[in-house]
Amino acid sequence: MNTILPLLSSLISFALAVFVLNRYRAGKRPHSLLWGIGSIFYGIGGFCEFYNGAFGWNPLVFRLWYLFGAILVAAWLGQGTVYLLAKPRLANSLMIVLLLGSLFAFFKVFTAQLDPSLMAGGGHTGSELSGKAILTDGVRVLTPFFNLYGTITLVGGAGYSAYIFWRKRILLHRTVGNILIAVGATLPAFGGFFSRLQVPGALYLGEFLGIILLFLGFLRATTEMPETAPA
Amino acid sequence: MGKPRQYPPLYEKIVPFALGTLALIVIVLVMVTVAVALGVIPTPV
Repeated sequence: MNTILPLLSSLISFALAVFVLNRYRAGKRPHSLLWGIGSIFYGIGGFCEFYNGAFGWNPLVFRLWYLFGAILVAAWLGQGTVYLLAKPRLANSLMIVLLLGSLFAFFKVFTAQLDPSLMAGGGHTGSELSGKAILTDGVRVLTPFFNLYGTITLVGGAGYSAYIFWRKRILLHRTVGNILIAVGATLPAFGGFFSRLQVPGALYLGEFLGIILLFLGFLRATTEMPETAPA
Repeated sequence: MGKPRQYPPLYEKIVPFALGTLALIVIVLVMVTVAVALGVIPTPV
């Protein structure tokens, strides 16, 4: 479970990144680029989890996992949605803040002291990677801020888009696609929650189901469906 | 004058339910994240 699921998550994430970045190549829209980058981050996180499960502790792998998988992924995916829905000036301003925040997070994660023995016990399954291995103060506290931004922008943005399309009863494929994306984006958070309740494999299962729904949502949103014509 | 547009009947039922559930999830996630940021709930991953 601790190798197969994250490996699959990683592969699906990279496949999604290919699809999304192809769309960016065709249209040069910034939201596609940000979603592609976010998908790559998702894939890096999954690969690091697979590596840990297959080969054991590696401090570099842990730092990459925490930076990309725990801190940055939600915020960067959400930033793509910001570029889709917000005015360019606001989106660009938030992008600058996100870039600076990401650089700061990189510095904090890569200079943090680590102790892998702390990952087991104390409200965590211990069989998965965990931020409990970080000894240095001021690192783990970054995660909620980035995740809060990601939750509001990605989940909220997709939900808002779905609502707008539904209200007008247009573009059914985008309504359904955005709902799938929004639900998919919440699943890793639920996985983390149940992981703290010591449900084995919950985090990796949440991430796996999440990326599946994200991928399906993307495919659905970009493929038209038959809709009922006015009576 | 024609009737307003509608989605297929299945989606007319499912979509509002899904949107309402999503709104609830977002509220809960935001509240939990704020609580974690303020230290009310111990830091997760």
